[in-house]
Amino acid sequence: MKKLVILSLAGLAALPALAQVSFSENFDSYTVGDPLGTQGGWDSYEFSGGATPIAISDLWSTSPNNSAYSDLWNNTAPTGTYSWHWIGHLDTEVEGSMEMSYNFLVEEDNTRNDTVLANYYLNKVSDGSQWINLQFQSSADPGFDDSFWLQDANGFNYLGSTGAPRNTFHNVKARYNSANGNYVVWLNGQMVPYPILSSPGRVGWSRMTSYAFAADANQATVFDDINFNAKPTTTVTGNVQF
Amino acid sequence: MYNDYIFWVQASFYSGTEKVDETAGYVDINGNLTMDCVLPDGTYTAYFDGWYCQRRSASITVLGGSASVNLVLPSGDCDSSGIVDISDYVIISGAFSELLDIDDVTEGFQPSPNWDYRADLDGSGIIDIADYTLLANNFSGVDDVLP
Repeated sequence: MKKLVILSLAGLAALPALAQVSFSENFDSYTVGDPLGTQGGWDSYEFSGGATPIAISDLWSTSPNNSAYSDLWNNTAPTGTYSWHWIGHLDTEVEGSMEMSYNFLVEEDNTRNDTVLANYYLNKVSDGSQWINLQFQSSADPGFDDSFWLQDANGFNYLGSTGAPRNTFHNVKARYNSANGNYVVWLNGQMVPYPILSSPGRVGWSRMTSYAFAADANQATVFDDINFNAKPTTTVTGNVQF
Repeated sequence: MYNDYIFWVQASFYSGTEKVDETAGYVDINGNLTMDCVLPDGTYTAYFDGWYCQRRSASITVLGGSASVNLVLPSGDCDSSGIVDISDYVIISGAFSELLDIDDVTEGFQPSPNWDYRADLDGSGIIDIADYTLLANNFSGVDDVLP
């Protein structure tokens, strides 16, 4: 079941500065075995792979009952250029996407200036703090080091296998302020205790991926529950002496 | 102080004994702190903890999406044990005179062999008497206890 909630805390008709946007998807209301792209608000287009890389499964979900499951390697081996999308045009504010190369995307885009480049990303929000809560399981090929990582638009990697063993279930939450580039990341409920480098003024979005759709890797990914929540930011400033 | 590093500070915000939010942010070379969180307007007890510093609490008032705070985070807790003690002294001693950046002919700039970032309390890029002094000044200091 997919839920989209937009709360206008300021009571304005247009999307206001204090809008809170929430999106959640647990796939539990969908038919097991059917492609995701035919169900709910999800829409598939530009399908050119000859396979069904994303389907609903009840075998892999950590939170019952269903999840969206991708096992690219066990489907048609990819050749050429693939562009598999599932776009859920949920609202003018939020959409979800899955692609072969870019895994998963949840985007908030007030301008609808969509450029789908990322795996799992938040586009710029004018003034809101941004939260991602992505739960997934990835069975990565042993030859790959990272079961997931975070990147910004410049390709910097932030979080790798050191904090996220493969073949285990991870809960990743990230807060990103596009105004100053600050990242704070939680892994399995614990805040990552080091700075997440970013590029203020250059990064318009961030992205998250499990690396599961890489064409040369024997990998599968389960997207179990997805929660997106953008809330107004409180900025704490001051002076610190040591 | 602040010669080379931008410090990373974590914070937890409590209303009574309930943790409302947690976050982290940067302290720039001038000591200016900026961090983002999600807090309704109100007054909170915030607990700040920096790299190799002792945790300190402060009351903050959020109004209209912003709040300000001035802090002193005593350093010296190299091993993040919650107390500045002899074990921290050992860390500094083991890295004394080490440099963050040395110009190696083949490898370029890199830390000297026994460099230990935990011992560079003043962020100068060299482990020296200034780091000892910070530790000595804050010796036996302990973290403020979380609710």
